[in-house]
Amino acid sequence: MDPETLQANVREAIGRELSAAEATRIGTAAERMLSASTAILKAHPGGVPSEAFDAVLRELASPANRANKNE
Amino acid sequence: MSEPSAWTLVEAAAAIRTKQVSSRELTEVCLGRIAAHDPQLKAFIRIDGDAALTAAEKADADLAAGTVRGPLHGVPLAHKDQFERDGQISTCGSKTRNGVRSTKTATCLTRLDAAGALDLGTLNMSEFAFHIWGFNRLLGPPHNPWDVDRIAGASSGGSAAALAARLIFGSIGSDSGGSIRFPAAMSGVVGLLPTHGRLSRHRMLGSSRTVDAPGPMARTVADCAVLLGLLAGPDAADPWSSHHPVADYGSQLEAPIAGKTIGVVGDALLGKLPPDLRAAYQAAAQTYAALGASLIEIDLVDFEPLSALAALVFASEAAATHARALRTHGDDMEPQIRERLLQGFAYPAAAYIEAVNARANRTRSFVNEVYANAEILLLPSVPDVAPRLADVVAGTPPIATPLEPGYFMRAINYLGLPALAVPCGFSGEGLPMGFQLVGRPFAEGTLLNFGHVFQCETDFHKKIPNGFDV
Repeated sequence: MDPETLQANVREAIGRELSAAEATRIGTAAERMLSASTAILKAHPGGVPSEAFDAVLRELASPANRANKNE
Repeated sequence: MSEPSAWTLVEAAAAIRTKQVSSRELTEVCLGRIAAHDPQLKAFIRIDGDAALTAAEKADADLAAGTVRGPLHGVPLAHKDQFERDGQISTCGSKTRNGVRSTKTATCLTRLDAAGALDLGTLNMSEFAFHIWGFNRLLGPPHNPWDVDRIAGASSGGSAAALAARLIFGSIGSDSGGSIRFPAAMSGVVGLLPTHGRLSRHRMLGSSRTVDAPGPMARTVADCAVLLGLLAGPDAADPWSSHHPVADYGSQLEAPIAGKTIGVVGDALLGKLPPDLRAAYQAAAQTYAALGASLIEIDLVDFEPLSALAALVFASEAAATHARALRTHGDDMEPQIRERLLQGFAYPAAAYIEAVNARANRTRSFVNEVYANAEILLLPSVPDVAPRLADVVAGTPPIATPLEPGYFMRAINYLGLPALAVPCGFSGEGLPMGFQLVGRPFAEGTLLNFGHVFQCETDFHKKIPNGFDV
């Protein structure tokens, strides 16, 4: 996200004015995470809604289900 | 019997129950040590001495009348200042919560109250449980009893410091990206990150519903097993708490591990650790091998992309959670914490939703790959020892590894898996080092079993820091 857009987002959300240096620093850190995240999301598309996560954990807890539920 | 402050939680509870010591006597011992050492350590945010002594006297009277409230009857504990208690102020390590009095009590505290435990006060933490080095405008980070010029680790640093210095017998911390496991490793105590949803988060002042998790901390694995057994289980007040059955963790502790398989990491990853830590990890693996366990090298997936997903999710949710505080008290926040919160406004909503929804498949893939042949995974925890406080204050402290400090941590939170941090040695400078055991979902009993067996073979958890002798 470019610094100007981040400054506008933050102003809109919490009414705080970010300096250009702050916006650049925060935006750069976020961009690094976003870039690494996008790579793995592209390689493994598809998803499960977060409310179903517990059901997946419970399924994976059972040894009987080991290695038979590959995506 | 040894000096009471050296007792484990299990020993302290037994001593009260069998009237070898009264709850009041034990509480006085703890308060005496807190008075002597906490001005230096800054482990406590608030000390409730009078209330604790009154509660101890009530516990003694109940016991004299034949009433035992529960397994922790009269045992003094203290918890990270992130769990609300009716009528009290929980700061969450932040000046922004000055004067905010709670009207409800966190389920974790209610469950320990019902077990008969006492509260000595609240423990220091990073602001909003952010940040592994412990930035905090209230008191600064807690100091490490093993070297008071170093940090105790964060964000549950007060819990770790108080345990290592023998000020308390057990504690609840929280872990969103290593906040239990970091301080446990850096201060030489045990900490458990439970499976996502295993413990209720009702009235825990969290930041991220996806990755926040409360968990027990203590000096021994057996103590953590007791605390987990009391804390785990569904809670109608927390819709994210799991209904998965709660195991009898105590009964699993002594199970033999001969013939079981432990996944270990190979030289490519170990080579990135400082030599002391690498040697301690390898020695721990050999301890298990000597007990008859098989070691199998796991070709571990790169944790960096998973850590990035965790960071994206955490930052997005934390920015939303704390938006009001940012609006009204932004200048009262620690600048590094505020800047991390603001990062949440830099992520597109679509990226956040995609990252949350990708979690289940990443977990399924990881579990199927790692646990197809191994019962449990043995990982390093923190890739270096505790840094010096002066370096933390000056900025990012130097660490002796190319790995990110949270490399072995955040990915586990994203995957929602349980992990147990266990002390496994001391560096050449005499600083604690630890490993972590990572299991399948809801495999806490297995983790505690492997951790306990390791502590039966070693004495790292029995060492007491210089200057904190009992």
